Parts: sequence; structure tokens; C-alpha cells
Amino acid sequence: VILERIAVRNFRGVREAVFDGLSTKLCLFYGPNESGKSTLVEALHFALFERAAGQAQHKRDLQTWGGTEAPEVEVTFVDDAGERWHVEKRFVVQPRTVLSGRNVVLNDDAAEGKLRAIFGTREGTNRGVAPTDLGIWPLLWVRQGTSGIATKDALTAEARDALSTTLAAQTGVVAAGPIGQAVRELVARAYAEHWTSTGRENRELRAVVEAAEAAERARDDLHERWLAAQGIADELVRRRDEADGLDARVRDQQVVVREAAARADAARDARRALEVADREVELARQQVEQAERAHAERVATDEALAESVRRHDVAGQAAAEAERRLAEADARRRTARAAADAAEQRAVAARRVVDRVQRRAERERLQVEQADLRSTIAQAEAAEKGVRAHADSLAALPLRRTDVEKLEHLVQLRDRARDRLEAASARVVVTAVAPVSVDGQPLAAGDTIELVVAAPRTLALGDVATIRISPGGADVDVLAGQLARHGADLAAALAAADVPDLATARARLEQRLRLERLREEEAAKLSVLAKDGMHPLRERLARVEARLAAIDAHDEALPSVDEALVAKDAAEAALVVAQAEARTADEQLGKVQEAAYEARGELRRQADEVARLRGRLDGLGDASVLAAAVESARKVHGDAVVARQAHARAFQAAGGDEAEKVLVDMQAALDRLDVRRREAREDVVRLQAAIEERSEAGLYDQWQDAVAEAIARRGAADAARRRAEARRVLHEAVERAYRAMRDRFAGPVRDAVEDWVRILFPGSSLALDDDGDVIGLRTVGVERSAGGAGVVETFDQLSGGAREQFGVLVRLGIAKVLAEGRRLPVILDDALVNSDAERRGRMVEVLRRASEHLQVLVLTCHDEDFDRLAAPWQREVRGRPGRRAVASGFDA
Amino acid sequence: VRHGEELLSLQLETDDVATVIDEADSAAVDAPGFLGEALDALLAVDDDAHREAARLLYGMLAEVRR
Repeated sequence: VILERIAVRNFRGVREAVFDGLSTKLCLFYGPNESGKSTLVEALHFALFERAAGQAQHKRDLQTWGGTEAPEVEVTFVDDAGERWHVEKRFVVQPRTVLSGRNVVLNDDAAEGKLRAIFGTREGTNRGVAPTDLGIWPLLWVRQGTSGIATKDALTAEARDALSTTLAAQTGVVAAGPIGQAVRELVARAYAEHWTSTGRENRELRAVVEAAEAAERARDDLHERWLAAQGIADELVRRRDEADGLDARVRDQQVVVREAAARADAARDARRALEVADREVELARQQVEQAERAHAERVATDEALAESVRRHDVAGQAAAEAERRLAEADARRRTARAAADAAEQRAVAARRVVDRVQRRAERERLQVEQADLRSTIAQAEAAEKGVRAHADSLAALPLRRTDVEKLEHLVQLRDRARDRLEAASARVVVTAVAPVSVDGQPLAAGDTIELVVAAPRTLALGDVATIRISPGGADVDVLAGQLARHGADLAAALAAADVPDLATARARLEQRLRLERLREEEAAKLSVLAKDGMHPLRERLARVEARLAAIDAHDEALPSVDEALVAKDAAEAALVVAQAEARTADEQLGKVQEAAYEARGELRRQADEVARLRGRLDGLGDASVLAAAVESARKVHGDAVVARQAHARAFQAAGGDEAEKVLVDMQAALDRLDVRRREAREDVVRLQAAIEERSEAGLYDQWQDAVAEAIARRGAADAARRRAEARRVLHEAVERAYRAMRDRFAGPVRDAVEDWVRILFPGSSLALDDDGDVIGLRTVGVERSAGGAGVVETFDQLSGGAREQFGVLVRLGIAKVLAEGRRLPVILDDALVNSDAERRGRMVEVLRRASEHLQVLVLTCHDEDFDRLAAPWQREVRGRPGRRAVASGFDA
Repeated sequence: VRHGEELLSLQLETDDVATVIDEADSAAVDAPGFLGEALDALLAVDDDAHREAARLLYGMLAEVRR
């Protein structure tokens, strides 16, 4: 169904208002509170769902307060089949209903019936239609203040059926209906007979199983006891026979032990005798060794003394030889030392001669230098004087090159001025034809005079004529003035330079330049002779003269420098040779002294050794006595060895070390046999007692009864287990199938809404209950519990704003599912009053997307929040219906 | 011992009663929606527990329809 036009007259204070051309997608009605938006929704409700006939109070309330006019409303819409209908209703005063379609016009009851058929509603009572009569529409038309009601509660039974039918058709799932629910309950009851809610065996089942296990344990216990009684008698006989046999074996073994003990005693006596003989042999051996050591020491000391006497003699000879060599070396050393002293005296004399010769050569060199210095100083003083003289001459000639150049320039200026004046003058040539005087100057016939006239002039030609000549006009005066000025400048310059003319000035300049050249030549000469001035030269001369005065001027007969040097070198070479020979003699003397010292020491050591050996021989006995003692000791040792061999043979004959071990082994074997015999005897006593104890009757019968009981209990437990298992399997299969069906059923609504949920509540999804109803939001990721299902906030737990947003969202989703590709009008009358601006902004995005599937009519007092809705149809609703008779905004 | 074994054998024979579902009967049962799917799932497994569970479900359906 699509709404196209709404018009009201005299409806709850609205005189007349028309809204047509509604968008099939988004329509925005905006205006402040009490401006009449809700009246518009009310008018739609009455036009489409309420009968026109009747005077019930809720209809009389539609009249404008204080008025008598009939409230009227008109609506144009297109039904699901695409047919356009126009319905007009008038209430209270001559009520009527007219429904007109393309080919039909229906009135009153027929029209009302057709409307109910189109909109799927039921006829109400005289007090009006109830929500239960209106099918899906209460869910889709959200009145002011009702958006926060849970959708589960807003779904009437009719709406739920319609939704269920639609979902079944869309998903292909057959709802099992009441049969399904009844069977689920039976299955749950059957399951609960054996299992707890957490899937464990319940108390009854556990008791049956435990009874079977207890009966089986009792049976096994009796079985073991019976088996034990059966075996005891056999064991008694066997153990008694064994004990008797062990008695005989113990007796035999006791005889064997006694014999072994006798043999062991004999062996022990023989061993003691052998040990005494061993000690005697050892003592004799030690005495032999002692006598041999004393004899050997005597012999070795005799030999050492003889060797020591020989060495002492050799050392005495070596000492005498060393003393002789020492005397020789000392004589050689004294001779060499005297030769070295004489050579040294000769070398000293030669060095003195060389010194005198070298001083004489230095005096000669200084005398030459003195003469040179005196000459240089004289030349330098002459050059210095020349420089001063030229400087004085130059001071008397102040004229410079620039002064002369200036004079030359002024002469040029004057000459050029004169040339220009001459060029401007008149040239007058007078040729006399007959004798005539020109300005008093006689001129013969045929003569010619030439006159240059630079200023106006009158020539008198005798008495015949006067000729007035005016050359150049005014320019001649100017040129004459220039010439006079340049002439004056030149004269002033010449006077300043103190010269009569340019030639004189040039001559003086030439003279000055020559003097400057001469002064520079003198200065250059001076700088060569006395580079650092005169003072250093004079100081140097003073130093040379002082040195000369210091050197004695003895005129003795001396050789030349070369001869003196040769003589000195020869003397020094002889000195080196003599000193080397003296050093060699010293060294040889040292070595000989060292050898003599060594020889004397060796002689002393050998004398000490001879004395020591002689002292030691005095402490030792005589050699022949010592040899006799050795022979005696060897004989005693031989006798002892023979006696020990006789004792060893006796010990071996008595069994040796083995006799003791045999006795120990035999005794151990006897002990083991005795233990076994005692155990066998004790077993015999115990088994006899057991036989007496079990002689009571009925053990076998008790066991048989227990077997029967265990079989019966086990059978009951297995049967109970099988029944429980079958019920568990049934419960799981039914619940699994039910959940699968429920998930498929809820799928379309979830699919329709999930995208919008993500926009409004990021991170959350729809939470459904076991019946597939939307119960709230599931936020995954907050808490991993219940198999990672996340935390569920039910509708009631959400905040007021979230509740109304969520309510609108789910209504849009259900409307989308119910529309099944058609369009249904969804009306939201101030449905988001509790939401903040940010959430309203997100809701706008959701509404924009929903309008792709639904016709969405938004009525709001916050139109600024809906700019981004970009509704293609927007109208302001103005006026205060119920307070004013006419609301101008409704005349749109 | 021999006597006990005989008793056990006898008990097993009396308790070991297999549940057999007649295909004609099962076809006649109308199990709507998810009940039908649960029934199909039970019959798809060939063991005592599943056969017994299917039989129970038949019984419950019949009880509810009465």
C-alpha cells in the first residue's frame, strides 16, 4: 500500500488541510509541538480503520472544540495490486463513507468492508477498533511515545500470524505449531526422567547403576573367598611334605659343617706358624742388607780419598803456574803505560803549535776585512752626501710635470681661440690701378696689399673713397673675448709657475727630471753599500778592530797551518796506538789475576776434601771385619728361608685359605635350609587353622545367590541406561532440529535488520529468544561466555533512547519482511524524542536505507536533524489544532 | 561357575530386544516441521539408541494427536 494524498476538514480544530503528491519513499512532516502532526496520523487512522457511522464519544471528540461542522477526511492510496483508491469519510453529522476505485464506487458498509479487505483489518465495536483488530498496522504506525514499547509486546496475535505465515513462505520452513510445542514438552519431560538440566545422570539413574556395581562387587568377593577355601587343603599337604624333607636335609648339612670346622682349625694353626717364619726371614734379610751397606761405604770412602789426593796435587801445580804468569803480565802493563804517557805529551805539544798557527791566520783575515769595511764606509758616506745635495737642488726646482702639462693645455686653448678669430676676420685685398693711399699708406699702381680685418673698420682710399668693412658680425666680438680670456689664463699660469713662457717651463722640468735620476742613482749605490744603514757597518768595523787588538802579534817562527796539522795528526795517532796497547796490557793483567785467584781457591777446596775424607775413614770400622760380618748375616738368612718353606708346605696340606671359605659357605647353606624348614612349619600351622576356620557350611551357596543378584541388577542398570540414552538422543535431535528451524525462521528479520543494527549499534547484533522473537541486543566481544555468544541486553535493560531506536529499527525490519517486495507505509510520529542528536543522525541513515523498501512518513519537531535524510517530499505543519479554529499551515 | 554363566546367558536373551521400526508405519506418521527433521536425523543412524529414540518420538506424536 502506498499513501498518495491526505486531506482533512473540520478535524480536531483543523479547518482544512491538504497534503498531496506524497513521495513513495520518504516524506518529512515538520513543525513544532502541538502543531498538528499527530492529528494528521489520527485522521489517517480514522479514514482507513474506523467506521464512519456512529456517535460514540471518540468520534464526537473529532469535532473542533465549540464547532458543529462534521469532521471529514479524505485519503488517496494505491493497493498492493496497483489499483488506486480514494476514500472519503464524514463523521458525527450525517456520517458516510465513499470508496471509489477505477471502475467502482462503494458506499458505507460496502466501502468499509472493502477497506478492511484491502488493509487486512477487522471490524471493531461501537467503542472503536482495538489494536488486535488492526493486524500489522499498529506495528508499522508508531504513534508518539510508543516507539519505546518492545516489539514483542507490540505484535498482536494477528500480526504474529501474518509474520509467521510470511516467514514460512519466505524460508520454506513449516512451523510445527502446537503439535511441535506439545511434543517438545513431552521430550523434555522424558529427558528429565534420567538426566539433570546440565546433562548429567540424575539420582535415580545413578542409583540403579550403583546398585548393579555393588552387587557385582559382592559376587566377586564371595567368588574369591570360595576359591581361596578350595586351595588351602592342597597347600597344607604340600607344605607339610616339604617341611619333612627339609628336616633330613638340615641334619645332613650339620655333619658337613662340623667337618669343615675341624679342617679350618688345622689350617689356622699352620698359618700362624708360617707367619712367624715369615717375620724371621724378613729380619735376617734386613741384617744382611745392613752389613752389606757398611762394607760398601768403607770401600767407596777409600776410593774417594785417593781421588781427592790426586786432585789436590794437580791444583797445587796449577796455582804455581798462575803466579808466574801474573808477574809477567804486570811487567808488560807497566811498560805499555809509560809508552802511552810519552805519546800523550807529544800530542799536547803538537796541538799547541796548531793553535798558534790558526790564530795567526785569523789575524790576517781580520786585517783584510778591516780594510774592506773602511773602504765601504767611505763610499757610502760619499753617496749619502750626493743624495742630500741632489735633494737640495730639487727643492729649488718646484715645477712638476703636471704644471707643464697645464701650461701646454692653456697655450693650446689660446692658439685655437686665435685661429678661430682669424678665420672669422675679413681678408681685404686692394690692388692699385693708379697710385693711391690706403689709410694714409701709399700704394703704387699695380701694387697689392692684403688686410685682415678683425673688427669693423673704415679704410680711406685717398681722397677718393672710404670703405666701411664689418667682418663676421657679432661673432667676431665673442671670439675676440674668448681669445682675451684664454690669454689672461695663460699669463696667470706662467706667473704662478714663475716662468716667462712655456719653453722655459719645459727646460726647467727637464733639469728637474735629470736631478731626480742622479739622486736615485746615489740612493741605489748607498743601499748596496749600506743595506741596513751606516751604523751596522761601523759596529762591525769596531768588532774587527777589537778582535785584532786581542790577538797577540808575536812574530815567531812557525810552520805553515798544513804542516802544523799533519804533525798534530801524527802525534794523536801515535797516542791512540799507545793507549790501546796500555789497555790491552791492563786487560791481560786482569785475566791473569782472575786465573791465579781461581787456582788458589781450587787448591784450598781439594785440601778441605782430603781432610774431610780422612776424618770420615777414622769413624768407619776395618774393611776385613766388615766383610766377615756380611758373610755371617747371609748364612743366618739362608737358614730362616729353609725353615719357612717347611711351614708353608704344612699350611697348604691343611687346606690353606680355602678351608675357612668352605666352612662359611657350608654354614650359610645350613642357615638357609633351616629358615625354609621353619617357614614350612609355620605355613602348616597357619593352613591347619584356616581349614578349621572355613569348615563352616554355605560359602558356595552364598556365592551362587550373589551371582544371580548381580545379573539381575546389571540387567536393570543396562536397561535403564539404554532408556536414558534413547531419551538423550531424542532430546538432542528434537532440540537441534528446533533450533535450526528457529534460526531459519528468524533469518529474514535478522537479514533485514542486521545492516541497520551495525549503523546504530556498532559491535552489536540482534538477540533472539528460543521462540525466535527479538528480545534485545547481543554485544559480542565484551564477555566470552555461554559459548562466545556475547552479552545480551534485553529490551527492558536498554536506555530510553536506545529502546526507541531499537524499537523503530525492528519495526522497519518486520515491515520490510512483511512487504515482500511491495511497499508498505511506515509512520514515525516523533518516534525519536529521547535520542540524542548523534543517534538521530545515524537513524536518518537507517531511514534513508529503509526507504529503498518502504514508504517512510517521518513527523518531527526537529527537522534540522533530518536534513541528511534528503526527503524528496517535505512540508511544514503549522498551527495549533484544538486551540485555534484555523491553522494556516494546513492550507498548504 | 558354570551355573553363573547360564544365568547370565539367560538374562541377556530376555533383555536383548531390538527395536524394529516398520517402514510402512513410519511413512504413515505425520511429523510436521522440525519434528520431521528430528525424525529423519534419528532414522539416519543405525544403532539401538537412535532406533529407540525414533520409536519414542512416534509414540509421543501419536499421544499428542489423540
